[in-house]
Amino acid sequence: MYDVTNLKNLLVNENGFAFDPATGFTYNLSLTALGVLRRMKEGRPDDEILDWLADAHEVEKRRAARDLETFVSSLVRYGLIHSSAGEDGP
Amino acid sequence: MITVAVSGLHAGENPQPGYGVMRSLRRRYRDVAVIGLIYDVLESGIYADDAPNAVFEVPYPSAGMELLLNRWDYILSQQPIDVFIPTLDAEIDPLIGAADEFESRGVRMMLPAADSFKARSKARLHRLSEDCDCRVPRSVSVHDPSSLLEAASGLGFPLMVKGQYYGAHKVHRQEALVDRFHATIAKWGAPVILQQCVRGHEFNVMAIGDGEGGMAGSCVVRKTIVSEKGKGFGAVVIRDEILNNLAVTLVKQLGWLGPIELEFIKDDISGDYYLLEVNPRFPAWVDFPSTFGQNLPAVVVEKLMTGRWERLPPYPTGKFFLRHSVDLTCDINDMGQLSTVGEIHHEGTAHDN
Repeated sequence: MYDVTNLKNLLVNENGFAFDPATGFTYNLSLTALGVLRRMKEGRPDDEILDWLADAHEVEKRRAARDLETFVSSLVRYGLIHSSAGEDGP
Repeated sequence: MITVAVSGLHAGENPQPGYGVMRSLRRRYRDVAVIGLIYDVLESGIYADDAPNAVFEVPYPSAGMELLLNRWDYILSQQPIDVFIPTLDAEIDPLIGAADEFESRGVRMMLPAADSFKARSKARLHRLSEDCDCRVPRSVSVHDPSSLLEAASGLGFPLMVKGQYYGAHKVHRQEALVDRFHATIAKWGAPVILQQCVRGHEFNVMAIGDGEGGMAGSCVVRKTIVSEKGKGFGAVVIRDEILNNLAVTLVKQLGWLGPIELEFIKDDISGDYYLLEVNPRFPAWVDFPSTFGQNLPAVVVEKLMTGRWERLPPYPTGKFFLRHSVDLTCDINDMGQLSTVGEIHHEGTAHDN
């Protein structure tokens, strides 16, 4: 589980340009990343995001899961999401 | 018409705040007259198209208050002045001590109390941080060379070498430390402050303390471009509750009255904010927030002239500034006038809207 509080404050436009008003950092997102980010901001469950990613881009779920994990790692590295309950759960 | 005297008008590589203060006042007041007080005839702002209405050379603070007051008496005989906004660190302490003299001459200033000023000094930052539960990099005040190396070994390299008023240089080795120590002593006197290096992004808070523990306005930025001299040549407005609360606590603890700038660095690894410095005046980027409704110099003038604190709207995040250099065409006759006569008056000076 991830704390997406910082993510919800991220300002994102339709072209994938994102601005974090708490730090002043800016990010450029691909359209795919934009789709994932929007769903994360909305609080959609991981499975739902994964299903969307696989369907929208016609890729195997395994591949989609790998890509999603890479993207989430980036968000963690930038401080945009934090692990809320620890890697092994509460 | 309000007449405001402003010092610190150089806006070159190491910009002073005065030129920005002047521009902020002219954004707000159509009929303000700005009197530039300079220590050096090559302060660039006095040669700009929007130069002060008049410029007077004044003696350095180190020359003593008697000399300065004599000069002020002459200036006031030529030009009434309602408000003086000093913008250089080295001016503030002597002016605090002479506040009554200026008041008796009808010149209004917004300055912190002597205790507040001392409490924010670089040498006392640790004590302030303890009182506010705020982190500061480890630092040591060094008064003489004999204790320099021992102080440095306790902090480790690289470390920052800072003058008591200005200057911040990173040194990586003992040889550079010794050279920098002597250079700093020669320029700013003792003590020299050695400070632990914290790696991370720099954040600055500009504010006005209301003298009662509160703030009459503020703006928070993260530096995005830092010059070789460590000056912010670009910054973006942000809003971070942790940083904001730190600033509020510090200003409250100091009981600060007047302009103030708090410099922080956010540790890349821990994410903790470290307080680096508390500057007792407006920063060089003071005019930037004035362009979107956070005109802090105007707040100072309004309070001094009317007794009322102006309410400012919330500031928008995402505004950013880039420092842009231009070449000014100057006339040697103007420089000659200032060098010899010590004053110059401009007719019909251009004003920004």
